[in-house]
Amino acid sequence: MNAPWVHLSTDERVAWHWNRWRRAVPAAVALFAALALAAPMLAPAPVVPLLPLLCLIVWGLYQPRLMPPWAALLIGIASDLTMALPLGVNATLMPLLAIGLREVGARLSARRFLVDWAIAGPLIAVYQLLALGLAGLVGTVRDPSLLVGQVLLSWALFPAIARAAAWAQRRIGFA
Amino acid sequence: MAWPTTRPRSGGSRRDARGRLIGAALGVGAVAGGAMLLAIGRIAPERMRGLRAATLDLSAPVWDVARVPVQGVQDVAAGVGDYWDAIGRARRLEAELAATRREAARAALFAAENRRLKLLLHFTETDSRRIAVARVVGGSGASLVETAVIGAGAGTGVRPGQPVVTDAGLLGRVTEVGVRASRVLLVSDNESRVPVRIVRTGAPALLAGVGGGWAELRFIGSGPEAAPRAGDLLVTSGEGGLFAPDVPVARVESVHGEIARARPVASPATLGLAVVQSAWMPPPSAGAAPAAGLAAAAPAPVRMAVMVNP
Repeated sequence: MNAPWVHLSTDERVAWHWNRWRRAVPAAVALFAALALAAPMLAPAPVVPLLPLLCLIVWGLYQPRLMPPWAALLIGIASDLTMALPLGVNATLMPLLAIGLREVGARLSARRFLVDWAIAGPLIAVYQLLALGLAGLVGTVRDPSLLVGQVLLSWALFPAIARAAAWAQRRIGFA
Repeated sequence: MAWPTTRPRSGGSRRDARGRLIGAALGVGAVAGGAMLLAIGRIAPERMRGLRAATLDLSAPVWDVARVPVQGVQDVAAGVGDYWDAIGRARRLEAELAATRREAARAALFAAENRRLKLLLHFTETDSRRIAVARVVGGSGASLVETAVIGAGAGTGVRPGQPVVTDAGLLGRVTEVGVRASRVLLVSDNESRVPVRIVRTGAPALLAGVGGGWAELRFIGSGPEAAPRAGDLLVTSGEGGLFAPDVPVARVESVHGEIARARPVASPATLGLAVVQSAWMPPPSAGAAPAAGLAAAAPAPVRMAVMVNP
């Protein structure tokens, strides 16, 4: 953008801002997804799928440059707050996961989507167990068997989230 | 899947190396930041109160609006369910109604007698004040923490520790307060402790949440006749001074040896409106955590127990 600001039309200004901020879309979507965790769904066991975690896994796996660890930290803080967990549980694990996905994704470049989907399930399960352990370390110990349904539901949603992310990728065309 | 192929790394360049170094440093910094939050939460949880309150105020209005379609779907499902086995249910309810009418007549007699006796004794009743009536506008349905968010906060006088009831009975107590919303710890959460009394035997006990919508009875008063049975109703005992006495809390569902499991009466499925009440008889050190006293084991008179509470 070389032309002085005053010479730009409104459309051009909008385009300039959009170009600047479109890289923030994945992190912003994941942050908004954290709001879903505060849904007024009061079931005895967790039922709301872990949308921010799925966003993090999908983008962290396929476009790690759009999901840096510090963005994962913000998403983790938002998730902790909306899940009423001790602050820092997801905020510690999500950056770790983002780093891990970046390193693994760079080393295993050619693989099928089914393989990714198969890996996502155990990944979510282990992540939730670690989160539970960390929350138990600073707060109350809880029963992990209640998490099974939520982990399975999140796993089942993985292809849909990946498809939506791919669609956004094509539409927005992150550089 | 049309993921753009990742660009091959042009390794070796000094600029790339510096970029990777900065990336790694930011990553380590992010993890350290998260761990620091954990440590702060462990050492000084009250530091996080403002952030938590702000989140409540931010998320509650969103879900207050988004709740409407969800509620609509639930209402339709409930309406369809009502037609299922309608005749059989109507017959059962009529039989129940006939039995309950007789009970109600007896209860009215007892109530009148009770009033007369209290007058004779110059007994004064301490009532909880109603602070706010609010809709349930959120929960924590994504984690094992069992809480609900209600649409009333410090703006209407809600304070941490106040009890929250629904038409069915005790829902829980307020733990975090924003300006227009607050978080309620449900009776079945692992951190919840409610001093209760078994209505049938009068034995005091402590109801501890165990998660999954369940709670367990602990420290049941001694004596063989004090033992709980399936179907027993549990009401608040007034012990500790936080919850006013005689509010229904839970019903015992199963007893296996020492373990009596109970389901809270204010089940998540029946949530609509909730009433925040003032703490019934706050102990002198007001604002402190509810004294879910181990003294619950001692079958002392309620008001005495309030006096001796630290």
